Amino acid sequence: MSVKGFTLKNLNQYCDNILTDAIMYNQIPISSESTDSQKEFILNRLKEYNVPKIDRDDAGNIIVDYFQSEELEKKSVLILTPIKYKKLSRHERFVRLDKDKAYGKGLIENSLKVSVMLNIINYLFNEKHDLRYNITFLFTDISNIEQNFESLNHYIDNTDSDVMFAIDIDSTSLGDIGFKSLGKYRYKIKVKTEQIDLINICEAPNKLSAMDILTEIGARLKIIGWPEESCTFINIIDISSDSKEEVISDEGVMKLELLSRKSQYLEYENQILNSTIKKLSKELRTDIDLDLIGYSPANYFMEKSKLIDEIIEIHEKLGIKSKFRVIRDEAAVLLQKNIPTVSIGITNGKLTVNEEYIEKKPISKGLIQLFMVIDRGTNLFRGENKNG
Amino acid sequence: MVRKSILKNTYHHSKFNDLKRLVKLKNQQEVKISMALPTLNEERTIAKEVLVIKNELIDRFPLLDEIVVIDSGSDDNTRELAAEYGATVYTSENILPKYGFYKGKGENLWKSLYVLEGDIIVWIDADIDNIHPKFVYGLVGALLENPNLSYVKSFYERPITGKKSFQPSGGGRVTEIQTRPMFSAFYPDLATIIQPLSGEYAGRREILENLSFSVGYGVETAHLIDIFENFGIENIGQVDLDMRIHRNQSIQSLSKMAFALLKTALRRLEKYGKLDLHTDIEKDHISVEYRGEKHHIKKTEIEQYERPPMIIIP
Repeated sequence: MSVKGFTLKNLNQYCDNILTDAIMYNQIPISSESTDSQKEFILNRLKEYNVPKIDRDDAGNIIVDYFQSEELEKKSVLILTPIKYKKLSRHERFVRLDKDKAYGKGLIENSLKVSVMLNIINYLFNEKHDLRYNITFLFTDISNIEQNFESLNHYIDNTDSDVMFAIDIDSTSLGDIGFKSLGKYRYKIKVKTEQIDLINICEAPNKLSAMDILTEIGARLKIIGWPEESCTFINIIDISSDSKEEVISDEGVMKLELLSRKSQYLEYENQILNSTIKKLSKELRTDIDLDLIGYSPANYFMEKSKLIDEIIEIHEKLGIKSKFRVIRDEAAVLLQKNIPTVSIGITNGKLTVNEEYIEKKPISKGLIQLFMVIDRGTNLFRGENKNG
Repeated sequence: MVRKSILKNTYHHSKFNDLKRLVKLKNQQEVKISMALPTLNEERTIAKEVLVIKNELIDRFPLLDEIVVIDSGSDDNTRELAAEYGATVYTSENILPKYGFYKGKGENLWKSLYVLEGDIIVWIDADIDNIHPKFVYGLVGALLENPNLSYVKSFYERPITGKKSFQPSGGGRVTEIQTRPMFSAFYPDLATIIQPLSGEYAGRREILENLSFSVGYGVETAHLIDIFENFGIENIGQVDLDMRIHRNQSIQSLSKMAFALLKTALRRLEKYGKLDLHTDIEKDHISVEYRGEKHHIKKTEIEQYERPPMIIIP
């Protein structure tokens, strides 16, 4: 199996590299809420791979250009992957490897994506393939959900490159094509209640703790009757409180998302959510702050686009079963900026509360797929530019 | 005179992280370098150790010439996984069969000397959770950069890991309770080695082949005393590898380990005229267990056989 010089045989070595980098990236100590250690790992690796020029911008992005076509000038394919962290103990993140699978929390959500991108870069520079197109690789920091993809927006708003189309590297599953975004409003709800000292517990049987209020809010929001055609869903991401000994917590935070497939409903539903919170604040006699911390548009990549057709054809050629799904949030930011964008899975795996693993064998096919999408996509957009 | 500072030849692994330079030094010195992992039921960690080290230190930077697993008879998938990821795998029992077989780490190390081709040998335990190439290049680098060094030990922080917890303290209990006090009493220079019992170390073949090997846990203690007595402290170095995370053993297991180390140390002290034993050392470790509202005595035979220097094996 070969595609313009990218042979499966060559790629197999890089599959081992991908596993190695994923194992080591996954065991990086996470200290405080920062991605500095992860960035240091990426930068060190890129240096080891003899990447001649590694750029960093003010927003924390790491950028590598692989420009091979003078004809295309500044037109390039953008390949991106997020840098983020998940609060998991290091013990859970240590990878266990068997014959077919690698197990470890964080592999799917973080480490595999980064290591795939590192090794595509390694492959291109190391093998010195003569491509006729330009690629920009972007490691973008999306660790702080409240910054609403500030780093990615900063890159897009300031880059000199003219992005023809973008590929968001996803870990799983092979065959997945993320092609349209789901509209999202992200909120942080903060409550502050009266502190209940445990010594006075008998005197306060009807008082509500911060967590009581938050779970009540969650329950009330879930029973709002949204218009059926809006396909709306309230997704509670996280509920937490400051746990203290000897008192029941009086402060808590809930993060949630309002999801809808159609933008026109989101604003209307945002208003309903705001008024519901105000009503609950009065009813429960509690200060409830509702902050909008992020927004992703309900935009569409054309379902009948030629790029999607090409990807389906590539999948057929490689014996991969295509499956459409919602695009990842960071890729939705690109769609919002009218950059044709797809998310592509590299291998198969499983992510549950108790288990997270990736399969080893499909990685090489996933890489071949990725190179074919770059190749076909570039030719497609190059042709469109000429015709246009 | 008692040394007032730690061992003179003490380094941090980062001093040796220029792998291109190490490969160049290796080629200039025309040496072969072998890594061996002694194993017994290590399927949880062996695959990633072999993958990461092979990928980084053979495929990317050809610092190592071979990775060999010497297995004591695992009944899990240790051998299959090690082979799958590129190690050459031996069963200890099948190496030098006419010399018999003892189950123990020291036995595996001794037999590895017979099958390994390297002029420099690096031994790495197979239960490291946070495997990183520094575990190998840190030790090998010290030998390549310092021709006067013959034997390099590792040291690191050793956090205790439970099933779900991770506590950044503890570790090295046998060292602090038994080995360092013993070294303090008889070999103060060796007491400045930060982790004399660490499982990762490297040495030059010409020295290693002249050492006898305790087949069990006593192998590291015996090495240090023998090298000190026969070659001098200046031949010994140590490298800081930052942190090593692995499963900690139960206090019952450590008690047996300490018993084996004590026997090894006593024999060495007698051999080098530091003390006279007027009795045979008992072979059984005795533990006291509380079961069914009664205390029970449990005896476990822990014999510390010793293998002769490999140089005399034809």
